[in-house]
Amino acid sequence: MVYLHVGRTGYMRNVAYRWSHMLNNVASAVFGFIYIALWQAVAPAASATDPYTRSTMTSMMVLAQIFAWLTTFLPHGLGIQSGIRTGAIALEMARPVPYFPMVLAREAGNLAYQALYRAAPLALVFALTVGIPRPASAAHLLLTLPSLLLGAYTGLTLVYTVGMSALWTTEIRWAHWTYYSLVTLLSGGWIPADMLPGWLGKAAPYLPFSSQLFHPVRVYLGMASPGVVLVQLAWAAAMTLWCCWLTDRALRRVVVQGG
Amino acid sequence: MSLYFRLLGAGIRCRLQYKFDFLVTTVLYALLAAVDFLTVAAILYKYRSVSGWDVYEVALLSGLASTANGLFRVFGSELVEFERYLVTGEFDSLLIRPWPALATLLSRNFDLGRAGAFVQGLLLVVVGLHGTGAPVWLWIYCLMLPAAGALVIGSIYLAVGTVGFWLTRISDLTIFAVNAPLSAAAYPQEIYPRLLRWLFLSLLPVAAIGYVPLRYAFGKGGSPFALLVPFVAATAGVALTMRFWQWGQRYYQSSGS
Repeated sequence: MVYLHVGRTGYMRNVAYRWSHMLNNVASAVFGFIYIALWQAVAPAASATDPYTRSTMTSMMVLAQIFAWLTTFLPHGLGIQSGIRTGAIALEMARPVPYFPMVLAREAGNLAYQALYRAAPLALVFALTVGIPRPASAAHLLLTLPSLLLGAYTGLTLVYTVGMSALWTTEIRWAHWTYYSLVTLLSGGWIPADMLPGWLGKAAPYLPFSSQLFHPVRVYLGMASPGVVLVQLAWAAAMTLWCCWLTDRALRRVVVQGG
Repeated sequence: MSLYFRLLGAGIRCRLQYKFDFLVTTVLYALLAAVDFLTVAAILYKYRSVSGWDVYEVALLSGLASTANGLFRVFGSELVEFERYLVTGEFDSLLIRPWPALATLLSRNFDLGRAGAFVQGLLLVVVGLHGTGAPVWLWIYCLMLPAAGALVIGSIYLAVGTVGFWLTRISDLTIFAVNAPLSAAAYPQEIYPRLLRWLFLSLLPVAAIGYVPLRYAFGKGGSPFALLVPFVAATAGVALTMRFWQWGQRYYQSSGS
């Protein structure tokens, strides 16, 4: 019940800025059109050997732009760093609710907001312009839901790590930009992870970043086996252990800057 | 203007007091900008060309966009952060100074670390020019483009900042007006739908940073006038947006507590 309440505050906090966010949706659509145009220009119209044809890449870019609002476009460091600067984190950690699940609950509310006010309007824009791709089958659509949930969860744990790094480095500018660059390159949202050259293309589908976009998009389009959800599950479990350990270390480390 | 340069010198000396931070910041910005280009490079590694532009020509487009943006961010970092001034009401303190608020704003911080992105872009420009076997005049010409490009980007930021006098929150508008077009500037404009191409050539003229002159230089179309376009766009952009700023500033209402 407490987590539900915290999630609700995460949702309500954003509602006040919904019209400003609508403008951001236009920007997000423009980014989508830029990448669709790029792939239209380079990808083959049809190929017996290359799975990434023009129509497939258009579908992937559309889905990636929509799914990114559910798994990837998260607040910088989940706002943890500002709590460290102001001293608010000391109060939050002293509460009878564990810190890590509380942050997750708050961000779940934020993601619910993003699904309604970011992903849905963007899907409408794409539906009216280039069209929304259909799922490969009803089973693939069903499997996309856990895939997206695991992607969102992995994204949250990665950004949680970025935010918590402020306890050691005070500010998270570098951690954020490093994370952002890795996501841009390795999440599969802008270039399929297995298309990257050499060893990077072989390793990228097994990194946590692929959970955020590459796997959910391919599951939806029927391009991936259901087994990839197990890879996502493994990363979610590993990241949970990591975040619990990190939070435990943080409890002993809290040195607030303000207050 | 002399005051601006004095403040500029003081700002640079201030930044250089923290030599290690400056060095690390510069190197990291260069590395992060390089990772951004890796996405483009990976696509070109597989497909070799984009609408008839080969890997070196696209590297040149991408490099020019990076150098222009890096150069602007060194001098205009506070304009990039202008929303903070509007939301907190900090802009009030700039208005009571005895010199133009814009000059005060720009002279408050020089983000020398952004020189890393500039250097990374410059490396791409050199690789692109070398790979295309560009003549000497094009080398000299391309070395002048980042300054014009930085002014084009600066004028867009200035227009967005001015709109902030009414909207207050402008970070989302910035993503639409600057970030998305700058991403688009790294590729040949032929690939975009007509509406986007018009947008990037007129209201948000990022195509002027590299595409328009290079299209002529590589014999892909256009007239010799194309070589003047970056400088015309920079001059007109700065003149128009400066006026817009001066007019908009009169409508500023403090929103801080």
